[in-house]
Amino acid sequence: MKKLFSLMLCLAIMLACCPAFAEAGETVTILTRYAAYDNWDKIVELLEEKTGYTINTILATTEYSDYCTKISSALTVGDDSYDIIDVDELLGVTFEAAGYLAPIDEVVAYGGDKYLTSWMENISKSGDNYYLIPSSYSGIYLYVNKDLFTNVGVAYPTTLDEFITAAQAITDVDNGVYGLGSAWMQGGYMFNDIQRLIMAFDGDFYDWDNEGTRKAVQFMYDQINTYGFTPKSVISEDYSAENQKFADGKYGMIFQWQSAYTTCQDEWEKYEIIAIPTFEKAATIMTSWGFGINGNSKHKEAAIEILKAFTDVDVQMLTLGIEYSQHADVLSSEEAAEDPTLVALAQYGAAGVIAPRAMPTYVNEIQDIMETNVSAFVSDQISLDECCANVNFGFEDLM
Amino acid sequence: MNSLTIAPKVKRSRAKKCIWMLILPAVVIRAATMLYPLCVTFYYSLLDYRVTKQLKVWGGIKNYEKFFRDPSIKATLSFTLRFTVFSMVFIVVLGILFALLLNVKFHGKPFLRSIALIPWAMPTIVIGIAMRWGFNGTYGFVNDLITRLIGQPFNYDWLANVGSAQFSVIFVDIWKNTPFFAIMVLAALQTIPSELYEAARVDGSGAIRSFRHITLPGISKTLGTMGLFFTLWRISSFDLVYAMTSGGPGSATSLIAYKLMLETVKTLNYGYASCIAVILFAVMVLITILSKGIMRVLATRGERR
Repeated sequence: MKKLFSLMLCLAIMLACCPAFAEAGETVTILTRYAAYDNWDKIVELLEEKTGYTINTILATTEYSDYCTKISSALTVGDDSYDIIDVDELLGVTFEAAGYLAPIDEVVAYGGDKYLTSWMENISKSGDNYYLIPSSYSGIYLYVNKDLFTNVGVAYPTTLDEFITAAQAITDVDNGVYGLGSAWMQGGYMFNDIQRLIMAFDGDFYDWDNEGTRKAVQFMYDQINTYGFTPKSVISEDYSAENQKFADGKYGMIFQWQSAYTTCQDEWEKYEIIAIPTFEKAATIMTSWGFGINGNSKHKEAAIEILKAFTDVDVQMLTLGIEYSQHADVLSSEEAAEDPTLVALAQYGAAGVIAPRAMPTYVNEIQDIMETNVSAFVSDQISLDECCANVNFGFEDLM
Repeated sequence: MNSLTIAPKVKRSRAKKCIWMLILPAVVIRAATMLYPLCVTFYYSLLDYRVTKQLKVWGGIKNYEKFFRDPSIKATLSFTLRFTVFSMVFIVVLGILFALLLNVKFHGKPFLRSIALIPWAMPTIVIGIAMRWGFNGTYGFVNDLITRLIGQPFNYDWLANVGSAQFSVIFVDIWKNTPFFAIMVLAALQTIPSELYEAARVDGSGAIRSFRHITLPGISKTLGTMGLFFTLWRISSFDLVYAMTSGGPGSATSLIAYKLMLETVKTLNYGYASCIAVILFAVMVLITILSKGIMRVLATRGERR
């Protein structure tokens, strides 16, 4: 009896350990922020139906710095709890360079041609391999509060001078209303405005002696300290505070991702997305988060099949209810034409004002250096010369 | 030499072996969990070890040189020192006062003791996020409270200005940690026999004299031990600024342990992160040795008296 029991136990252990037997019920775990959306369940259902694998979703925090810490720590220690992870461009290029992601060339060969070539070549590709497939698509739009513009009787700005005039006209400090809101908390928020303004002032991200770069940083200082149309509080605020203030009518304009639309969607008639005004040039930035495969994953083949299915147009159409798709067929669909942010995205694209952010492999390091110094400059701790010299020193050190 | 003299030696040797066998697992675990990471961290601090560049080469003292010329380190060290000193002074003083208050017999004392521990029991990350909103110029309860107290609108961007951001972080740290310190002091207070106070009172000693000659010596060991732990916890603290200010504006509220966390999990620069860890460890060891010495001197003086 004992022998029989031991034999059965050994057999059970062998069956559990043998991949060939385990494959039938293979479960792939996806870590993503999208699990909070209703449409995500539909996407999972469709992916399971297409691939035959079971998908376990883990909801990721929307607090960006917490997410960075969590996912970086997990990948660094070789954690295989997640097979597919959702990362933004900063994390994506960092993890590609660190060798934390598995190549997904098969996925790109299957459906990669439907995505923006610039993103696929600059962000997804590292060396000879591709590592990410876009999971969302968004740009920084210029949102305006229509009532505040109507109240002061100014037109929507198209140039830098008009922009400053409109922002100052709207500002009513006594009532806590400001022409332009921002979110410059360190940890990624300020970095986006630095990148956007360097592009708008025709500067050079890698050269802080460049006149355009210095103008961009000086403009950030002037927003608060010279023109006074941006409150000083933005230095310590993140997107949630910025969106809330915009929704509460405290900001006339904000440059913001799609999240402002989500916050204001219920009363959208009060707001509008307008064309990007020309500073030195009209420019704003785009982003796509992307799905990549954890290099430590024990289910890489299954994960590749799931990502292939994710690029199918019927799955991509469901992302319209989440954070949108970069997929060409989705962007040209009738459903996309009903969404103001996607319409704006198409318009910005047609006008040639939207571009991906600069993403060197050491982006997280340089982001920290830039934010620390620009924050110190706009809060009057150091001069513009010191700020730019420190960032240049940072670049030299990282090269 | 005969068998009668050899026997006890053999027994002693066996006993020694037995003792070593018994403590060996603990020594092995301790070595694996403490000595090994310590040695590896020191070794890494001498490497140019950057994961994003796939670099892991010998760098000598390069990371240490970088530490002393890194522009952001100066501000970080300066705030770490201020944070530790101010927090510790207020935690100790307020902790003793609070403990003395909780030691007085009054109605509702158990309830007060329980609620006093709530700030300490809450996770620092939760407190940090809550306080980020609490000190927000527009939506924060701090400005709202001041507005209600002074009867006119009060608007101040606490976390956007250097001085007030530093004050806010230190204030929250004191608010969170004083109750725990107070409870520890209270436990020490309760070991002092009440007869000593009665005798002192009969001898005509006032409250201040009783505090100086009975209370303070009675709680000095607890103060010394807890003071050391709290100081080391302040130096290695990063979670409050991580959640509340992200070290800003600039590096104004950046703590050395926060900088270490950024280098480790964000920029994946393990060489430089290890260098910061080694320096932080050396400082903490130095403080421990110094405080032990001070405690020993104070104890000797107390015995002489």
